[in-house]
Amino acid sequence: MSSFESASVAYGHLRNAAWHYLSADDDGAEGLFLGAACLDVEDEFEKAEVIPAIVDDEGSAEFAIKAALASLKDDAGPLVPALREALVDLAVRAGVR
Amino acid sequence: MTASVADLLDRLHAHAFAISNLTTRPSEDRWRAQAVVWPRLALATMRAMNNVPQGSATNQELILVDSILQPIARNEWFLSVSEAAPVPNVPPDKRLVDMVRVLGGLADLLSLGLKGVVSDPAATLGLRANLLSPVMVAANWSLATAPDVPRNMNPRRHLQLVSGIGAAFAFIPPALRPGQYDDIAAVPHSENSLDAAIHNWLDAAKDALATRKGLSGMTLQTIAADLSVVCAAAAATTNAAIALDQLAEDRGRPVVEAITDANARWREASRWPQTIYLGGVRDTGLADASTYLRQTVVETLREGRAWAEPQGIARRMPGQDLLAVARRAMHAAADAGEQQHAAVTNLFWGKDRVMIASRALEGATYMNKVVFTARRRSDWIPMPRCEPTGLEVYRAATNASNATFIARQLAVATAKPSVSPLEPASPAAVDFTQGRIAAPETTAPSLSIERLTKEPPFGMGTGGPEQPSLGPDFAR
Repeated sequence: MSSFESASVAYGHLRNAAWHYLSADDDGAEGLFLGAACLDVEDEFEKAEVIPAIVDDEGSAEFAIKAALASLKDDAGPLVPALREALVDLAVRAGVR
Repeated sequence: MTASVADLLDRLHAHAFAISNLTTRPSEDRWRAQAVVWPRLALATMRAMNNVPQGSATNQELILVDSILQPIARNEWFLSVSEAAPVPNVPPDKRLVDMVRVLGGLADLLSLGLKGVVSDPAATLGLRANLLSPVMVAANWSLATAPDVPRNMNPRRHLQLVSGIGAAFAFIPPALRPGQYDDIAAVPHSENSLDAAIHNWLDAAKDALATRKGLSGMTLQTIAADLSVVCAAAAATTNAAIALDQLAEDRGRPVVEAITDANARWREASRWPQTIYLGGVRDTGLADASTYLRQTVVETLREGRAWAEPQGIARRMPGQDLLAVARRAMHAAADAGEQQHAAVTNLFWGKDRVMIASRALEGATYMNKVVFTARRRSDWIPMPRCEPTGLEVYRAATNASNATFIARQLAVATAKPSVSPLEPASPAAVDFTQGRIAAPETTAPSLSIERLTKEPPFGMGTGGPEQPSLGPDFAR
């Protein structure tokens, strides 16, 4: 998989994570803030001109973030470090990492 | 610091109260010094009164007030210019001068109005009473200090009229005066407050939605998510106000429920299906304002991963009216929501700009060579108009905008006094009793009123009439 393709897949998983967080029906509204944080990271992907791929839903936001990180794991493209860093920050905030 | 109409009214009334406690010895020098301020005071009062949002009908009270204040504002109340000349080295009272500034500030704030809110005659009347009552006090004080000499006769008559019209409005009880317009505020952009964060975000969101460069999906999703955050903040603040007894439970609970519904709807509108995509980055100003908004909401209203306790929220918002902040948040949400809805409508009903995953297209209608090729490559293709997935996104934005409008209306109603509202009386309303015209409710005094006037303190130790026995005395 090329650098661009793996970033596309990561973006696809990230979109799924945002969907799950923004769908969560929680009283504390933490899902809303995490969903908005996902949108922040999505903007980083857009700045890198990555087009999202349609990927299979992992079933939850946490799994989707893990899948996004995994798809960027072995990639060494020029834009990947910045995107990976943004994803790691999100994962830490979401308690995935 | 955020200055609302209510804050400025507090200051105006405090000055008037201070003036009402001053000595009232007639003094030609003092009178001349005040006479210099009065034209500006009259002009500022007229501006403020005219800027009070009102219905479409011509308002007779306003015409009357204008006709009384106009001659003073135009400095026509002295018969000659030399009579109005100030005495050197005698400054006007600083409270009177400050009243002019405050009334000017109120006029400016009121000119902003409340977009999309139905005018409320009771609120208009209450606000006018709040504007004119202090002016009545100033007029009374000036009248008391003006020497009773022939050359002052004309200006004294003008001030008597001001006092008279002010007194008529001052009869409206203060408890009935609060209204939706008290929330209009000037919010400094640099302030570190929830109000300022929402205000800055609103400006950024409107700029982003008005862009001619083309909207991106990121912009629309971010604004929808932020609208959900704003509604959530308004709900949390209203909840805190209820818990702190600033709003009755029965009045506040429906408002919280309506705002929570709007919050859920915007959340729904912010999540686009995976099969729909509109590329492009979001506006930098919006990105910064959005981050700042969420950060401020977290710092002000949240504790860990949940909403903070009401006492904690009140501690973090010292000196602020929680309900007014919540109402202003809902005004901002309704304003941005309306524009977001318009943008989504244009996008999904306008040109084919939104992309859809080719694999998501089902149905024989779409099966042509381009679609087949795209499906093989798993590409994005322009979404056909009226595609159900697109309609779903449009419908979500419509529902959210409508829910926000309803929630805003309910929130605005909490600005009204909890006691029975003022009913605008028709000037022609009269009673027709026993074949005679009478002012409304001037019926024969009831037994209870008669008894009240004869009971203490009216009848006890004041030389009042003795209480007659209601019936014959019986020996036990």
